[in-house]
Amino acid sequence: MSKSEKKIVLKSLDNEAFEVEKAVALQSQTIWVMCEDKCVGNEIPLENVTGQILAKVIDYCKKHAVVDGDGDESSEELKNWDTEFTKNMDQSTLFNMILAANYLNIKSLLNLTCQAVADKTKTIDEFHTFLNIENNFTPEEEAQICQENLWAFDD
Amino acid sequence: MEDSQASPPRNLNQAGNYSPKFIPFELTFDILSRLPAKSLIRFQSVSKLWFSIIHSKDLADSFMSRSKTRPRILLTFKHFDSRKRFIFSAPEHNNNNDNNSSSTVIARHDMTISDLDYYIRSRPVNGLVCCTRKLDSSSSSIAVCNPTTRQIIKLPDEHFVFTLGSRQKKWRKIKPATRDPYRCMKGDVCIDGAVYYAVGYTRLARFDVRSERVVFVKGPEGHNAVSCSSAIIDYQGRLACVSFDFYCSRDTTALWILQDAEKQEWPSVTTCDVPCEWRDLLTKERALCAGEIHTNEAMFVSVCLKGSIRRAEIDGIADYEFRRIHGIGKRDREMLCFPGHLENLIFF
Repeated sequence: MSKSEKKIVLKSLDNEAFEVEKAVALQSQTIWVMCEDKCVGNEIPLENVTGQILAKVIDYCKKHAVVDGDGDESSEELKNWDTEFTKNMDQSTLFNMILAANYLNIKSLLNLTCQAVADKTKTIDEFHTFLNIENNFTPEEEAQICQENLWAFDD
Repeated sequence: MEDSQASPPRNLNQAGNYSPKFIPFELTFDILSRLPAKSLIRFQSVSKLWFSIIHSKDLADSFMSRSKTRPRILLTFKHFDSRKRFIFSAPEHNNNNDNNSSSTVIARHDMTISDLDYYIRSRPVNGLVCCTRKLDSSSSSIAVCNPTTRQIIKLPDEHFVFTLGSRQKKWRKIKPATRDPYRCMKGDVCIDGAVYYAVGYTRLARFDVRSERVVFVKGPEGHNAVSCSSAIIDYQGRLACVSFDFYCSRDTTALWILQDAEKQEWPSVTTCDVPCEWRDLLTKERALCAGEIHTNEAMFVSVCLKGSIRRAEIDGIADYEFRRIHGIGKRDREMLCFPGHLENLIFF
């Protein structure tokens, strides 16, 4: 395999190009399928992911890739790295990471980011804002549900 | 490769960030299935979709299978002055291959049952606790409470059977098999589609859920094998009786295992010495709590079936702060403990 075949270019929706090792990119099932189809060249356009998010996804994939005996870190180390990775991510980045992990079909990243949202989000309003959810309850209905479950609101 | 004809990418907000309108349903479900029960109860009012997902059978099933990987210990006591029953739970202790080590976990206050004089006689089943109340000599009432959702529901007063998933969606009345009083024997168990409970001092009843018939199993012949101070447990899929003799001078617990349900054979008895400093705890405090935990140990305040005993402490049950907040003094009784408790997100 020649050197150029080992590399692949990922292009974000805002036209940012990232050259990465194939083994890194192929952790995404979506990219794997695209490569198998051979309907694309060495450059893969990703229409649903911005450069800012794609850079973070690539960081994650690099850490988790197993390249020629490289990256055989202990699972404990990887776990700590994962915790640090999501620790300081703001909610909107985290939300976009979930969508990217889902679109790119990277199961472990989806698990990690969904768990991080579940751990970090504490209030109803945070969910409304960050997951773009419309509250379709009337104020009376909402008040009634809260009133019936007051105990769940004290920490 | 430049695409000069490309229109501005969709879903970009003013700051140039990708900002989609909707989050796919399966991702919403995925996130919800990772939340603890209290958060789920709180987030019911996020939207109508969230309310229906949180109340769905799919989420309850997913929640239950996660709960099965981390069983808890249910603890409850009564406070006589305020006529309240407090229910707590704590994570089960892990053995960590060190049989003699002691361990401490912190309990969480799950629920308070107030204004009711309910007794809890049997262990929780799939996270639901059965409470009974004697109204007078001829009638009693039964309620089911779910400490996870803090709901309680009163059941009809007669004996009915309801088969979940059957076409005939109604309760059917069944004939009682005996008029013998049920002894206060803790740890009713369900093994292989049959529910076992004690009847009188020598017999165990086996209610086959499929045939809805009750057959009686002769109890083991040991002293106090079927009594107030013994318990029936599911020991690795077989029915077993564990007994500690409060009044006998021998400081041992005994375990009988039913080898053959057909022949009703209880061939072996395994005994285990109880350290003398525990004797006071087991006799005076009546801290009798039995059942098996996920490490295949039976628990009386943790009695190990392998022939050794280890100490396990649970902190945070009615400590000073809790007593101050709830205005309760030290007078409380009927401390009960049930290992293997699961959290269930079923709503009544």
